[in-house]
Amino acid sequence: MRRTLLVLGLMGLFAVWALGGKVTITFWHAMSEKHSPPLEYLTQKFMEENPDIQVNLVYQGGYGSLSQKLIAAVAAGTPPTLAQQYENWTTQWLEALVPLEDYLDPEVLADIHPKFVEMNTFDGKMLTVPFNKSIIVLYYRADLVPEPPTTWEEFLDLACKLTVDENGDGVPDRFGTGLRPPNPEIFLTFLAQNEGSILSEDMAEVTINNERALETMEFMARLAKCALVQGGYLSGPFGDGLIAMFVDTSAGYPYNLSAAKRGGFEMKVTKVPCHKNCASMVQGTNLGLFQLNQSEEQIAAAVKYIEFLLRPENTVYWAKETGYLPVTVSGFESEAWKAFCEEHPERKAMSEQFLAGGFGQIHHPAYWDIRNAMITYYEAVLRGEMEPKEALDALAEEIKTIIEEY
Amino acid sequence: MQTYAFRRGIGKLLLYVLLSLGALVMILPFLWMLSTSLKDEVSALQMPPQWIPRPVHWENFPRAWSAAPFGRYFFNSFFIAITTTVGEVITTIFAAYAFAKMNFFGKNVLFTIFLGTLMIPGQMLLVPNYVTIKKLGWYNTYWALIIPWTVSVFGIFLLRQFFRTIPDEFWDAARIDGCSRFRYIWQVVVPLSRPGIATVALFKFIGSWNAFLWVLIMTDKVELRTIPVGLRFFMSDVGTNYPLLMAASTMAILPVLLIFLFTQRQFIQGITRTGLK
Repeated sequence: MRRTLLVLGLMGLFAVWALGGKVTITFWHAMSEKHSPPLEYLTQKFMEENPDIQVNLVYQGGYGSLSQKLIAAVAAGTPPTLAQQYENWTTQWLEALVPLEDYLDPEVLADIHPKFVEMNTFDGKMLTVPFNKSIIVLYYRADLVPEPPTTWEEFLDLACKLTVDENGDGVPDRFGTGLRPPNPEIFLTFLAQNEGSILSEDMAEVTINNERALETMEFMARLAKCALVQGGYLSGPFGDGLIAMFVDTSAGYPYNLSAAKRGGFEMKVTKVPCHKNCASMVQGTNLGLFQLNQSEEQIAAAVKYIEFLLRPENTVYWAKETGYLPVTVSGFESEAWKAFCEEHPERKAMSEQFLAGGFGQIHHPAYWDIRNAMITYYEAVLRGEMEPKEALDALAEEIKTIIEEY
Repeated sequence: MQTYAFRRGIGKLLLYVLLSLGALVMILPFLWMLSTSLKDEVSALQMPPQWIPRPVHWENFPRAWSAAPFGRYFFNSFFIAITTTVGEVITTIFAAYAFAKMNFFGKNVLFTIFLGTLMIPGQMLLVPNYVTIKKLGWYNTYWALIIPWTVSVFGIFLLRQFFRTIPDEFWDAARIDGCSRFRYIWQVVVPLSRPGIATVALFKFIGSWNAFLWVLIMTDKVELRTIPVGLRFFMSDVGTNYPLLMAASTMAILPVLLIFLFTQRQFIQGITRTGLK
């Protein structure tokens, strides 16, 4: 009996030693085959530095399933410690998050690029940190575009010049550019360049049908006449030689490059043509730390992990390996990043594009519905089914209804 | 006589040409999958498609296999598909028999409610289901992946239609001989309904084999994930690695294909007899 007790006691002690010393945090992500290995590498490095912390990376499929799972988990009160999230997801569970502004080391906090700080600030507080951020740039064929356009006028002109119908059947064999209705971020980029927006700054008024927006949509309608308008990724028609240049997210770079190789031409990347300014929309998710269902130790461990990811050498490693942007000032200014950009002009263009005018999505909880409404009318204009004014007025009405319901 | 035979021959020939064309159309996506699985990323989307890849990238298969723990995924997919199929066949036979052949209070109302549940979109149930599974303590266990899927309203509906075609005289005769209801079901109804049951089983097996969102939502551990979750790994929001995705899909589809080859007679009979198209 005494021996049994002794064995049980020892086993108990062993369990405390084995489990008690280690804090486990869970990180739900949607990084697939190409982006997952660098994340695993950094996480492994972090755990070697911090043997008392175990970070469980859990792949949750694409963004769609990650969002569904997070909604369910927050509703059930059992979210993970960390999760990738878009701004419009974050607005749905503001109270469930730890305000990272109050937890991060002030030095680390001050190092996050101010543009990203703005994108991660909700109701005056920085809640999340930037994670996998990409930006909209211009991709073009070096053989057809010797000098890339730098203004709207040049872009439109060139797009129309490059639209050719060689066999004379009335359908162009090649378009100057391509536009994808499900990707209204291109329109939003041009809208911001024309100093327009979806909503007023206090988000109380719909401004999507004011003069600036109308000018922008009219420009899109003119551009659409020299553009291949289709729903799929533009890398497909680009590789088939159907389009000469297009505006797209920098995250699509590896796929667009494969397409160019398939088409047998050289692809180059530069900044989106500018108008009143050189704004360009930032895409990709941020990292949020949940306070629901987490112990103090888990929160502290997660803060440590975030600070680790934000170190200049790590944010640069992440950017180099994945194609996303560095997220800190010291990362952008590091010798390592500068040297890398010199070797990779396309990355330099992406980096410069961000610094020149990166902006994020509006922080309205109904952003997803607003975006969906926008796609409908954007598509109608691009396909010539609606006049820009008619479409924007209808869109404004729809957005009004959406935000009133909230 | 000769002209009749000749005409019949021509008719048959036409029929075979048409069927062959149909078969070709059906098999094209499979051929594309197989061919793409052996290409590199650059030539994967070439138009017109290059059917015979040159050079052949055999290494896509080991690369896809090692990109995610597919060995474990295969085991899980098999284990879950087989257990849910067995479970569903058992519950479905009893429920369908009750609805088809027994009389009890509120039978039709109950059956209507049952059918009504088919109308509720799955997405709406996601949060309540997640909370339920969490509260039951089944999150991150095989229970969550198996138990809720051992009952299928669609299966019950399908088998009920099948059982209704069995004449009641069989039961009368069996009863006179002293047969119990349970024994009657196993020894008379089930053997008579083999095609129907095989159809239910096959639908379930394929459905379970392809299940994605449920597995993803109800588990957090790699050790519990299934093949479709592994396939999703090759797709991102900005593009897809088609050669690896197709290599993994080819591996994933083989078991289902083999099962279909061995059971296709039952499957087709089951569909035609229940009047489903």
